[in-house]
Amino acid sequence: MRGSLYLGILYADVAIFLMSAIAIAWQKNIASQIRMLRVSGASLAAIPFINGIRSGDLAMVLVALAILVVRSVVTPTLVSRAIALEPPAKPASRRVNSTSSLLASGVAILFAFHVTQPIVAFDATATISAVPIPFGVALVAVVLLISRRQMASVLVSFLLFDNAISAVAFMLTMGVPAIVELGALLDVLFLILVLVLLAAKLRPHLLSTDIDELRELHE
Amino acid sequence: MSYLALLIQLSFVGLGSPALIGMMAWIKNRLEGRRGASVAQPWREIRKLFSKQIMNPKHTGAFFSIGPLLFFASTAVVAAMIPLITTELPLHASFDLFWVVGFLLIGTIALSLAGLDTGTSFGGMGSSRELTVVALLEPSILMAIYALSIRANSSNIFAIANATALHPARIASPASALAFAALVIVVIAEAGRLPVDNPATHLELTMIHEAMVLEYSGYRLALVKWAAAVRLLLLLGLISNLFLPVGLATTNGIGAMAIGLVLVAAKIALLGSLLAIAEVFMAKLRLFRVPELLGGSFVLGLLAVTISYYLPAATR
Repeated sequence: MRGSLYLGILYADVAIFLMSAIAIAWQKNIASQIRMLRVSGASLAAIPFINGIRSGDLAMVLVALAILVVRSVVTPTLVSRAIALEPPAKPASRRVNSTSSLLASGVAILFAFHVTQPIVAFDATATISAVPIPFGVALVAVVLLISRRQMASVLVSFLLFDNAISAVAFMLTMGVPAIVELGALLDVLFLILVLVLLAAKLRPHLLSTDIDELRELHE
Repeated sequence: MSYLALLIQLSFVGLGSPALIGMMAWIKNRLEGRRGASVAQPWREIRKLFSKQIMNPKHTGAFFSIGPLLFFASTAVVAAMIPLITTELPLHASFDLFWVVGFLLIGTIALSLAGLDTGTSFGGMGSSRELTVVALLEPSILMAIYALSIRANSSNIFAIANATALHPARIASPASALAFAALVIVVIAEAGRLPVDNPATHLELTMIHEAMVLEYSGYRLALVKWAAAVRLLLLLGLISNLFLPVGLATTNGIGAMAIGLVLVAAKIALLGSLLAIAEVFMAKLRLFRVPELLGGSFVLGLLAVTISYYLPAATR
């Protein structure tokens, strides 16, 4: 692949990754948040895929496919199954409204550009220059994690955070060993499984999974 | 020769814009299971209105009568300073993107004052809503334009379009994608399409643009309708040529201009159809949710600016 074409595709992919994060911050509706999470997972998988094709590394392409399956198909489906069991959420069940959440995301991404300057300055190749974007997405996910209350949207924010960390890793290292990556993948998968199971077990005893109301068990 | 290009562009914009509106209405009608009026219908309506008598509501002043003229004139000026067919329009070296925004704003403000001048509650309500939307729109337009002009090292529209035509790979950058998303939202709000405003309804609770021009009749209404159609065409043409300047002529040869004309018409028709198809699936936003949409557009623009400063262009 030619250098400029490779960079063009990589940057376009990073743009999709960033926009899906902003869309998650924007959306109120949990179903569309999960849809954007699928997009985010797919654009994350595209990073090792593009790198693998470029360097002719088969293991990397396989890791990319595994990521695509887990991050874009399995985990979002698990989360959406979990909500299907849930009673419909109250409309105003979040601490901040969409606009402030968006503006906070904007500030978080600006901050990420500032904080990652030393990393970019250390090795200013075109790929590493784009590292602030997934880093910013991680900060956006933290903003969402602390500002959302419904279990499902907290899960979505957590998965977004995880996607962003993996994206930073892929862009910085051009591929960690496949075993490490698979370990991280399974880790997330199990975590989500446990959370979903826990929520399913808890639900009969609780009136809602709104975390501000999780103060006592109802008999 | 460049004046010939200007003449072709102005007649394309003037004649094509009602057809664009007609085509979008036809697509929406077909998708909603109706037959749909002919594409030339807006043309017939405008022609009919020109021959109708005008009515002046009691106690209206000068703004009511010059509002539509200013609205139309400002739109016509913008039509002469956007690279639709060729980059070699007269005086092209001095046309800034900020001018386009400014001229569109002059028209909007003229029409809002005219709406207030009628003294009816609808006119005032429409003007106040329109100005609210425009005030929120302005920062995100400026941000998106700023992001585009960093890429081209100039805020001249023709320089931006030329730079994109020379280095098509630069378009595939996160900054352009964000600026594109921001501009699409801005264009939808500025042209008064769904989900910000619904041009097809006169429901008093929701209308914005239509409320301002409720008292107009005769040639004034025709001018307002025509200029609104021209604005939509210009904004779609601007987006398509800023981000995909395929076929934009860089010389004033007849052949190059013919290709430019055909391609820009095709691009605008494509964008218009996409917009019409999207509108079928959309409901109008509540007025108090509109700031959310425009705030989102502002954040996208802001990020586009930041990223274009930090990230090297893809060609380097």
